[in-house]
Amino acid sequence: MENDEDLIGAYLEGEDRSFALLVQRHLKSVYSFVYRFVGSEKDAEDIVQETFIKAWKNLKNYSRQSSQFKTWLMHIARNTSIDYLRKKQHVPFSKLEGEDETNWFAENLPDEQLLPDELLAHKGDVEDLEWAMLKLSPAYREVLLLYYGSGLTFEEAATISGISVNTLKSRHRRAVAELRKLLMHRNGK
Amino acid sequence: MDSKRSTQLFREIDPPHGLFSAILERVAYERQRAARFRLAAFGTLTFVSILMLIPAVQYALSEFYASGFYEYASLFFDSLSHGYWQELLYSLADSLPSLSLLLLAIIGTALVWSLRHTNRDVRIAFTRLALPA
Repeated sequence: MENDEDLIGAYLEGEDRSFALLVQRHLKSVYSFVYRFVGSEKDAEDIVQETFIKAWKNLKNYSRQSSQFKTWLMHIARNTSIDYLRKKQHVPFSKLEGEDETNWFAENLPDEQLLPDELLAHKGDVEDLEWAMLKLSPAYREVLLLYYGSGLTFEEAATISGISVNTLKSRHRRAVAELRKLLMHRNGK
Repeated sequence: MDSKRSTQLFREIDPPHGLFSAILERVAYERQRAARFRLAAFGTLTFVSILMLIPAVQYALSEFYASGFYEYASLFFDSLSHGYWQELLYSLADSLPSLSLLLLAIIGTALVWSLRHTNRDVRIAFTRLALPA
């Protein structure tokens, strides 16, 4: 099976089918991320289309040295989703970036390593998680989706979000805390 | 960290039926649109280059005749057997109508370049992006 870089090279040399294979390979993960990020099927379809159009237009500029294709593609998906949220909801940039860096609740959590699925194992189901995810700020939602949903490393997720790994880890911790708070509230505890 | 369980929980969602082909349709549309736009530009450049090539060739030929290059050239070939070709080489280079040759080279290059792009864009503008089997 050809890797992404081989397919890109083949497409740039005139093998049209290669781009379709790239779309086929990454569509599910891009769609999952975008759908959970914006919370609407119709909007997710538009954003995913836009993401792949942007990727296609910039394929010549893609450099395997700077990042893997999936990371590069998710970066485009993330930026396109944020642009979409900005346009649709007129959310100021500062709001998209998340809450202030000194979240008392997050900083005072007894177990910072508690993962969303572990929370759910005790407190709810997938529907609860999807509800809670949409209640999170886009920045928190983004870090959880990239790390758990797309299976990326902290380093890759930080590259996509354009922040340092330490900031991302800290944001991840606060996101989990916020998610826990929401789920506890939903379950009446 | 139990990332496997998390991944199962945040399992990937199947995209809606038709999204894949919709993406490829849009890419094909954008690709064709861009190719047609370039085709118009490079087609015009090809046409203009061909139009300019004729007077450029005529100008270069007239310059060659007027410069005495042919006379020097025939003398130069004679001189090769007589051993004084170095003296004639400078006269030959001097008589070369460089301006008209430069003009001809620019137009010729533009023509070849635009033909190459036109050829590529004709193919893209009228073919669809292939779907994987």
